[in-house]
Amino acid sequence: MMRMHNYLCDRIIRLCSRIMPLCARTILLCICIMSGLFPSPARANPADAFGFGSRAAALGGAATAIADDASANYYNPAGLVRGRDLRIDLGYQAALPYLYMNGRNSQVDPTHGFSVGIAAPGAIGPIRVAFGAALFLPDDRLTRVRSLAFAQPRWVYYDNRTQRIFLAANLALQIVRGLYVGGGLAFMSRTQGTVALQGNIAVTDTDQTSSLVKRIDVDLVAVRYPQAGIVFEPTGWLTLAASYRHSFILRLDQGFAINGSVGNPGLMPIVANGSFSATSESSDLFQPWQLTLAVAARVTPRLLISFDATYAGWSQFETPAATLDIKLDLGATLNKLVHLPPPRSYPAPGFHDILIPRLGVEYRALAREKVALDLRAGYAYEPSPAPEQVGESNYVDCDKHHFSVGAGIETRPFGAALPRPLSIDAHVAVTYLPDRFNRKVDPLDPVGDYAARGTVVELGLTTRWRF
Amino acid sequence: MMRLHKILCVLVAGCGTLAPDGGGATDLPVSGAGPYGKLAPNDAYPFQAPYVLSDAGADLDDPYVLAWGDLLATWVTYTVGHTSEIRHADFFSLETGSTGFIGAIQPAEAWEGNRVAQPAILWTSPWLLFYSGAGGIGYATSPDGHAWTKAPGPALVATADEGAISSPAAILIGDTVRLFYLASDGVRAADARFADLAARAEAPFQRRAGVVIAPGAASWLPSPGRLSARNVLLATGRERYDLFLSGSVDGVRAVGFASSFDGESFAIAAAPFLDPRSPDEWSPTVTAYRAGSLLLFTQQEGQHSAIGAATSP
Repeated sequence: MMRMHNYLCDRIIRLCSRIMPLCARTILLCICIMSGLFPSPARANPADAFGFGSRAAALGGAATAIADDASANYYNPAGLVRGRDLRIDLGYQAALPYLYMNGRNSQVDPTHGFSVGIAAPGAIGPIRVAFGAALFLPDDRLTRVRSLAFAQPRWVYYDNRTQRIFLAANLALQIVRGLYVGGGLAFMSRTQGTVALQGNIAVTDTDQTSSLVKRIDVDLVAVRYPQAGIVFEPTGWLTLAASYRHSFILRLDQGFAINGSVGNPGLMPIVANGSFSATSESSDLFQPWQLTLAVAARVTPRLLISFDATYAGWSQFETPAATLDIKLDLGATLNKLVHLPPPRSYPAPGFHDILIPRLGVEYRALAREKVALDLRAGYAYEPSPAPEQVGESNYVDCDKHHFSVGAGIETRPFGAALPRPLSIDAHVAVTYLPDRFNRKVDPLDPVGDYAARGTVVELGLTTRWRF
Repeated sequence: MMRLHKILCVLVAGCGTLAPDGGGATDLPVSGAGPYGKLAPNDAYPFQAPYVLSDAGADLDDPYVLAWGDLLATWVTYTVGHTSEIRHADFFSLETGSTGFIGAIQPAEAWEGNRVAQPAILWTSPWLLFYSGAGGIGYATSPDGHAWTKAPGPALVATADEGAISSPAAILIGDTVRLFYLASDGVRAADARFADLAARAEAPFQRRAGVVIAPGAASWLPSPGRLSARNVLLATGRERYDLFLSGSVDGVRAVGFASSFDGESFAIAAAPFLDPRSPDEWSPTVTAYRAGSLLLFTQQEGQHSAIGAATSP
């Protein structure tokens, strides 16, 4: 895997040297290095929310049966082997949320960054194979992980789930003509660590007579989850496909411990061999497992219609609130004076699985010798998996109606300067979140009833280079 | 050239280290249940925080507050010697201080016994102001919240079971005004048609059976004291009714609240709004203010009582 990866990176760099400027080659080199460091890729929450690549995003995300470029790394890895040439996608995507509770903007952070993808077909003997890699690199933070108070209202779908890097790599192969399979491993890392202090704490003149030894142990533990897909072309105009993405959750496990005595040197300690420990466990960046069945039909030579139905397992969503376990030992006498609350258990969020239908239409409006123009539109409906928030929790979410439009220009080969086709795709999308009311059972609830609504505006531009 | 490659690689790898703090926690919904913090002293204020209303020659008590944008309208019991009247003070904003007191209701009727106090306002058309006097509870109407005309009173007189009644607090449920008041056995309620009150009808109230909040209903309510009430129209379109109550903890007066969706059965908060400690607080009133809530209360300031303020985000 690594040898093939290095070979492909080297070939890509040589090819790029002919036409790409120096800085672009350098960026590409860095991406190859980064993708080599993370051979098992990560599933994307930003791609899950906003799509990957402007063509697929313009089609409402109904791309499982039609993706044959770098976007196949997200929508269906089996599509990587359907193309014949090496394709490199470079683009930029932005999603700007305008989300309101009780008419006030929650100021949820936008998500924006660079999208880069590779679809590299080849052959091993008579078997057609392909390797793909894709990266969404946020341009303001790589990943943000945070744990909020249980009752604090948060936009559970948009607040923090989209604030992370997305890195994917897949393999695909052709079983027979018209039947393709592909898959990859998702990869992320989580932190697990302890800060420990040991020694003596003086009651007076602490700077001079306290002595503490600290130790910090932190591990970045790898988390992996799979993705797979299949494409079947029973006829020249009909494509059937399916894909599966496994669930993902990032667990944070942090601890703090202090062991020692409290008292001045030479005197009987106030606390002898006491201890205090606090352990926090929480989860963030939940991604449900998803099974997608798709169909695409080229009903006329110019008109392509695609349809996806995705079943997402949101019922596995766990409460993201941190559980804190505190232990304190100050000796028999002082222990009686301290009463620590027991660790709190939280009610299950009660999310439910959902079915997401997506419809995309692509029409070749112009087909000339040197240039072609595609017009695209899409719609998706995503019901909210969150129940009405009637209790203490406040996982704010609404149903989502997603409308998208886009266009793509494909240039034909143009002499030595442009020996292979170049595509430029752009899209604009609006996700409309209609009003949703949350009526509390308890009139004393500190948050109270609230109405949630919003709009998310998405923009993107992707260039596709073929070699 | 290699150095440029390395520099650019470092720059790409460094993406994501320059982000500002995360968002999504701005202007979150709050119900007014707290937590509250008393207004901190600030040289920019024209008053000595937390006291937003004070008078060197009078005792101020029983505040009631309404808000409209940044504007605040307050009514208080203004006592000098043995005479109490109700006065009104406006604020362009909390921070700019009041524009000064103007008279609202003065004692003039025999049943009032030289004392009108404990204002409770309904911002309706016409405005309604309920108050207590020596002989019961009365009310007045106004077209603008400034010029008041008393109704024949008292509108409500204590029964033999109730002992003395005081501390009116009113909410509007549909076209019915529900008046809560203090009796010897706790907080009770009586209803009147809004139309009758608007017409300044005599004795318009019909008592409701039972006690709404009994002494000891919460650990900080061994004996309920001065209360106020408000309607809250929630973003979901339904109403919530809040009662703000005076209680005590270990002999120190404290203020807290109870709430209801039907105006009949109230859930009482487990703890008061503010930490009960000296100087203690009583006579609370709350209004939504800007993105949070504003609590006014009475507190001793030197020789006299004054009106303090606390805010909740």
